[in-house]
Amino acid sequence: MHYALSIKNYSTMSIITLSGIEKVYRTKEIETTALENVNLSIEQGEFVSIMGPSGCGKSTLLNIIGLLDRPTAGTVSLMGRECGGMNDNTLSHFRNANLGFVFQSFHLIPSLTVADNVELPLDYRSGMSGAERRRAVDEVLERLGISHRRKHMPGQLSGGQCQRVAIARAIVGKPSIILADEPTGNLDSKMGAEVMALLHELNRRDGITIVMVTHNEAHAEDTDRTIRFFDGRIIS
Amino acid sequence: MKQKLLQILYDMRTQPVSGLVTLIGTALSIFLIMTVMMMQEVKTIPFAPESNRGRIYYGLYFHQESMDGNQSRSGGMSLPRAQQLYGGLEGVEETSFFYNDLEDKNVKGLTDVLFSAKVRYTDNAFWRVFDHKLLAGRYYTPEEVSAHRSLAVVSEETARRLFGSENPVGQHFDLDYNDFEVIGVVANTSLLASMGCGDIFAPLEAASTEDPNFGGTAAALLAAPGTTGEDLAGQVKARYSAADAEMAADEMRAVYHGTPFGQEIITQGWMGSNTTPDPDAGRTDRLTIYIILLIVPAINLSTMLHSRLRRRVSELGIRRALGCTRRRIITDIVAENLIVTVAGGIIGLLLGVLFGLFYDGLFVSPAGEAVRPALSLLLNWRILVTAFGVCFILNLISASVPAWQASRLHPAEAVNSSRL
Ligand SMILES: Nc1ncnc2c1ncn2[C@@H]1O[C@H](COP(=O)(O)OP(=O)(O)OP(=O)(O)O)[C@@H](O)[C@H]1O
Ligand SMILES: [Mg+2]
Repeated sequence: MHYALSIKNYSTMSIITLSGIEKVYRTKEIETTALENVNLSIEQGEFVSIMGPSGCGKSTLLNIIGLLDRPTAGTVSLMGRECGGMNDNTLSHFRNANLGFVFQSFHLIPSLTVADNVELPLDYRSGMSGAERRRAVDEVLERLGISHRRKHMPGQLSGGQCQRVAIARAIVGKPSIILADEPTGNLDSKMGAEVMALLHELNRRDGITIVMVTHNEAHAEDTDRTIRFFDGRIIS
Repeated sequence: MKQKLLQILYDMRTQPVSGLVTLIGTALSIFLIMTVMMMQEVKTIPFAPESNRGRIYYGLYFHQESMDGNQSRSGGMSLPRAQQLYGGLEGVEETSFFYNDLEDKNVKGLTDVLFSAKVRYTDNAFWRVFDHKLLAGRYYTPEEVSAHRSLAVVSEETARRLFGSENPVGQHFDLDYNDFEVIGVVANTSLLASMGCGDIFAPLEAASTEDPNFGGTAAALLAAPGTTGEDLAGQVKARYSAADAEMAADEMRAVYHGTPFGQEIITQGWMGSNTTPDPDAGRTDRLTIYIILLIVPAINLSTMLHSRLRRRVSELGIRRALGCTRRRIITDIVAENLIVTVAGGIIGLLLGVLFGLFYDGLFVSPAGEAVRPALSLLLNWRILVTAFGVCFILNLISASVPAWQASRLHPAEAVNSSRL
């Protein structure tokens, strides 16, 4: 599968802007510099992959873009808003409204059914009635072909199905950006290909900007742009 | 709500020990607190014949001391002394004088069975201070009391034992081998009633050989609405001064101990005839017990919740990533824990009620006998509301710290935590 760049026309507005990002982890004994002077700009509608050896800071970068972590230095702007000054409450609302997360190990909540897992982001949003939430959940489950699993518990699903549910949960709130950390890392190649196809569809049809960390060269090649990391720095 | 229940069931399945300990711990704690509370409740809650417990005040003892402090006498009052100290106070609707001791006496009626019954000697006002339910006949009149007539008002149960199915009014029976006539029948009274209870009531007689100060008489005052205990105490104190003057010739003086006392004080446990009870002491003791009964299990429950939450760190991180605020994390955990606490509380309350109903010796009458209280005394709205309140407080104490800690988790680190 190859998705030609030419068929998309994303705007030239930068949706993610990182400048001078540094991240230093300090524990009692050691100081680890996970990111060093990272400058990055991602356009609206772009599908970007991030590659690099283990421990080079890819997840750290994704956490910072996802507002789950604050950089030691530098600024993060998402959708034109500088996020450094936001308090925890504002960050939570911002994540809920604009960001979707997909993880390598799915991270579904084991005590909740598929439908309840998918509904979670809407539950944290004010001003949506129960009926509206259920309609949104049904729509997404339908679209991803997992409606028949709505009452299942995560433990009863295969890896590929889990990742579909996780993607459903990531998009149910209609985010502008999806951050995916090795979304195919725990899947076999067939399942991995399905998930990739799904992400590409979300990118093209819904115009969602996607930043994906991957170790898979082929998957990276299919994206609009690949950013390579080494030792906390962008090398290309 | 549904999701919280699912979460609780999931926790129960995946961590049954912690879940069970939490449930049992809560149940035990609520059980203990509610039992202590019920014991107190039974002592002070109004019920017939003491429906006016909030307004009834007692003077039970008299204490005198020689001027040089070498001699001290104390005990129940003689009728004249009781009348002098407590008779005709202002702001009092009725004043009754009666024998403080419930005497066990042998009785025998038509059934020819000799048995022991609790006899209380009273005046006529007794029937207005205490609201017995007259089922048949009448009460003895003030004139009949003055004339020491051998008349009796008996409880329904006593009437049945004395006369079987015969109409008891007008019947005669032996009371300590003296002939008494039944003129009235009242509903049975629980022994939990402080001073209003008894099987047989008969006119109070003032023995002529009585000491001018001491005897077995007690006074019960039914205060008019609006009259406070202090209002009464002020007047009684003045009466004590008057008694002092009378006794000065004998080199004695009366020692005032703060009478008359309300329901809370007279059920406070042993009350000496020559000591001043401290109303706050009982309250402080009970408060201390409640606090210990709350804090100790709360610490345990808190540890349990903390360990259950540690298994959910990654999940909490995900929730934060999906936009859950810190405040929402806290309220969700507290609400979830409240469900568990209330479930434990219901079990504990049921245990408490069953224990109260079927375990002898938990409730002791003022006369020192084991009593089984009626269900309505153990399970009523006040108890239910209190039990829920206690659950709520227990939950707040035990859940707030773990919930707060959970809300402070670093989202990125929590998501990547391997514990899930
Ligand atoms: N919470 C933390 N405390 C201390 N050091 C950390 C922490 N998180 C990450 N690091 C360190 O920061 C560096 C970058 O970690 P990161 O997880 O971003 O790497 P990665 O590129 O995602 O690796 P992988 O491909 O294995 O997932 C590593 O050296 C890691 O040990
Ligand atoms: Mg990583």
